[in-house]
Amino acid sequence: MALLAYPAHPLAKEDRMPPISPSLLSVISQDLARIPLDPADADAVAAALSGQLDGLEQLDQLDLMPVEPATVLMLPGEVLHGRA
Amino acid sequence: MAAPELCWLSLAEAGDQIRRRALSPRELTQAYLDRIAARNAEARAYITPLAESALAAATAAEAEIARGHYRGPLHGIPIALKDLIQTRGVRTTCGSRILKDWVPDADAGVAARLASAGAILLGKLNLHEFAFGPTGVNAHYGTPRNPWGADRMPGGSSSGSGVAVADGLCAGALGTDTGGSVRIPASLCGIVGLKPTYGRVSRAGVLPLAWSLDHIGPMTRTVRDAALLLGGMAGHDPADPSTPVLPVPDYRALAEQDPRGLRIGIARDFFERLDPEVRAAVEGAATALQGLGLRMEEIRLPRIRHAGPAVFAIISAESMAYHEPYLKTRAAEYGPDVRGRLAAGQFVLASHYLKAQRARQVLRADVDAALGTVDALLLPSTPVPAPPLAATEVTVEGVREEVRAALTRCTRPINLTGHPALSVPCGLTTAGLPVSLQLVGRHFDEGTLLRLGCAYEAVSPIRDRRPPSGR
Repeated sequence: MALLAYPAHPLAKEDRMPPISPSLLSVISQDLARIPLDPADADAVAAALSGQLDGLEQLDQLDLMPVEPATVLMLPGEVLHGRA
Repeated sequence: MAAPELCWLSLAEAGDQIRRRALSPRELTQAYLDRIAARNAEARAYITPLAESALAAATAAEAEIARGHYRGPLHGIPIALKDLIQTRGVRTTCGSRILKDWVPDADAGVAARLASAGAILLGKLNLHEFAFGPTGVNAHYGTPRNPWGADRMPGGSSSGSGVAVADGLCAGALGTDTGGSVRIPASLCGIVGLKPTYGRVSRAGVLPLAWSLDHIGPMTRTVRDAALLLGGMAGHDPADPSTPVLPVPDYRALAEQDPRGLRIGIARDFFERLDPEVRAAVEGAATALQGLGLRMEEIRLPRIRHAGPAVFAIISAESMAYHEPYLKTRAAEYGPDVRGRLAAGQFVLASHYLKAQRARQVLRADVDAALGTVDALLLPSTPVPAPPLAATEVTVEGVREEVRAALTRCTRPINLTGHPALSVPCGLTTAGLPVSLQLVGRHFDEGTLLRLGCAYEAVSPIRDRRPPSGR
């Protein structure tokens, strides 16, 4: 898997992916999630999500194809003691 | 000893005196209650002090000890709980308006264990609303005052716990840690904070922020005290299936063992973008540890930078799932910062969440591999000392960063991997603000961290230093 370039330092918000539109979030919130999004919060939510999407995409650099999710964190000690 | 000085005894010292019947639990409890009465309006550490029930419990403990029934090192010791740990018959607000009148009908597992060990509950401690924020700011109950600087953040989310311990308002406290919420206020308030291994301490009866990242841990003035509190809290609980059936060792005895010959890996990837005074203090601590006969080497964890986005996806999705009913019906009652962060969770995709949980496996294996060659990792607890209360960003080595991201940068990866982590004060900046180091160990090997922390504490440049309010 080809590695994507990764910046040594976090970029300013304006240099990251194009910002998410607060109006798009409002539509998703009303029509899909059905959880009211206060219009006053929409800008902050859009900024927070925009700031994380690059990082979430870059998780692909970890070569996750053979990895199962840790949906329940079971530590080795639990296996040894019969709880797995 | 004058009553005000009793509030500065370490938990271990107080316990030893109580065991020898040289100190009365009632006298000790009264000293704390007097200090709380005098200082809490300014400190804002307690949301609900419990003077009457604390004195009654102290009186009962004293009588029990006088009859020769000494329960152990926590018997008669006044402690306090972060106010999202459920307490039977005592309101548990979670630092929120939504639950301001909620009175649980059962104790959380940790509350019951500490009560059964004879600890005295002084009250319930302030926090960032629903534990969702590292600054410790609380719009509903006021922000706890950092005793090292009134204009500085106390750190969160266990802000009341950090302030209460640092300001001599209890002998020890419990906090919870989902992205650093024990270690960050411990670092900013100059005290010891321990995030145990995931599963070492029961989460039953503690309101969740994110089930798979939440940990409960002790916050104390010394490492030995953290060992004693952990010993009173740890162990399997059938009500929390993530707690394995493992024996609970004598952590105090482990803490007091000679650490010579242990190997420490300096985790260099956590030393990027540090405040210069934080860097100097942690490097100085590494030198001091070497002087104690420990072997130091450099460790690289280049992929650990991926922990931040993974933690974001997991906290956002899990907290949203828990809070969804309140967000649908009582959204206006949240503080705006927490409501906004919770709302972001509805836009995290299921694929993001699962990718984060897969990344978690990889990063946990990376840390496990590093700990295969050394006994513990050394890193800073926070990249910066306590930021100003109104700060939304900090600039470190010329790079601007959101204050929330900066405060959690060195702590949140260890929530993802579930390893135990101990924060120990290691210096003061020229402005008089505490700086702390962080030690990370193998799963269920809190004993080695306590051993290292205890040895370091003996040579720490800020050993026994009190904040200005305690001098």
